[in-house]
Amino acid sequence: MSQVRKFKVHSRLSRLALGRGGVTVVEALQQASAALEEIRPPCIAMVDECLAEIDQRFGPMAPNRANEPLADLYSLSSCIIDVSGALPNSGMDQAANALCELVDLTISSERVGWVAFDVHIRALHLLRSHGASLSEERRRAVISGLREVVVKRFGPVEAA
Amino acid sequence: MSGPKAMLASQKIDLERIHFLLVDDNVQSLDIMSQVVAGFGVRSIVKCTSAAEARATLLKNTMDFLLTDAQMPGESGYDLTHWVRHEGPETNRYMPIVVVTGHTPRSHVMRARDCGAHFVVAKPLTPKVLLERIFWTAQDDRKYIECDEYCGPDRRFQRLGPPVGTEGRRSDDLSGALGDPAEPNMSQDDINALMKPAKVAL
Repeated sequence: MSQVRKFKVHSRLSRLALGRGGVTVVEALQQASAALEEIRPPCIAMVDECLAEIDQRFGPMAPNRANEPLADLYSLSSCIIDVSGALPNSGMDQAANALCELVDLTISSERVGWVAFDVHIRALHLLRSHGASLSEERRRAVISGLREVVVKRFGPVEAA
Repeated sequence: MSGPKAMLASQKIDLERIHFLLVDDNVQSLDIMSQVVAGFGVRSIVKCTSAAEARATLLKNTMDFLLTDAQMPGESGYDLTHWVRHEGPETNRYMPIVVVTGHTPRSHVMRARDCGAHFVVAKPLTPKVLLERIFWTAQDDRKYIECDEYCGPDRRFQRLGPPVGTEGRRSDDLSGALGDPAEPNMSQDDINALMKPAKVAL
């Protein structure tokens, strides 16, 4: 076994952040939310671009989807998660997360099932158009439906 | 070891002089990180779109906080974290690191922990969660552990005691022998007899 060293580190963050100066937590959160609002339009545009590319390359009408690398579908849905904070309470992040899970399991099992992908893609479109206006209960039903598709195909999935 | 205290609304936080390094291959996502951090009052922000660019920055500058995406093409945020902890310049080696990721299966979270990150934050990034993690990191009193296999904050922050049948390696771990039963467990009747005195007829 290698030599183990244990020691304390006093970071500059610890020294400087929790003093008497600065702003209150409430002010910091308000400023951050206001700053995020400024970049909401490009974030929403990116969600739509990703969805369009998913349709074009992996959707039910995509002519060559069997030859497209599934890793790209993972990247596209991951990109939707990245910027989905611009569409709060839409469920987009959770649907895209479910799609990432499906792609991940599909790549490792090498069992491609396009029906499961189609269900996820349709759910993403539904939530993009109507997610924010759906009741919490109905949104949750859509997401749990997606989880069931994954479980049905691959069994229970490890949770973080 | 005490756990992180709750972040109170009236609590003050001063990040003005803290140097933040943000890393994400998705430019839009990098902008989100940057806007949030700037909103917290941070003045010094360096943005990088790859781990290689971040490494070059860390070799030339002293930073106070690294916020990195986990999954980037080529070198990932996990690789970057591992590099900082094992090969990074001394001035940056023990900096707080938070890994952000969109997809958080348990295996990814464990990987982030095992490469030496302080915390993992799930995307989409929200100001509240990020500020809370910065706050926790600032109060984090975990010791650092450095050995060939691992460098980073002590991963054993839950006091579950040493594994059964071992002595434990912490100086303050209780002896394995302590607490071993000296005699068979008491039956419920024995316990009741001790704890629930009953009236008796004399």
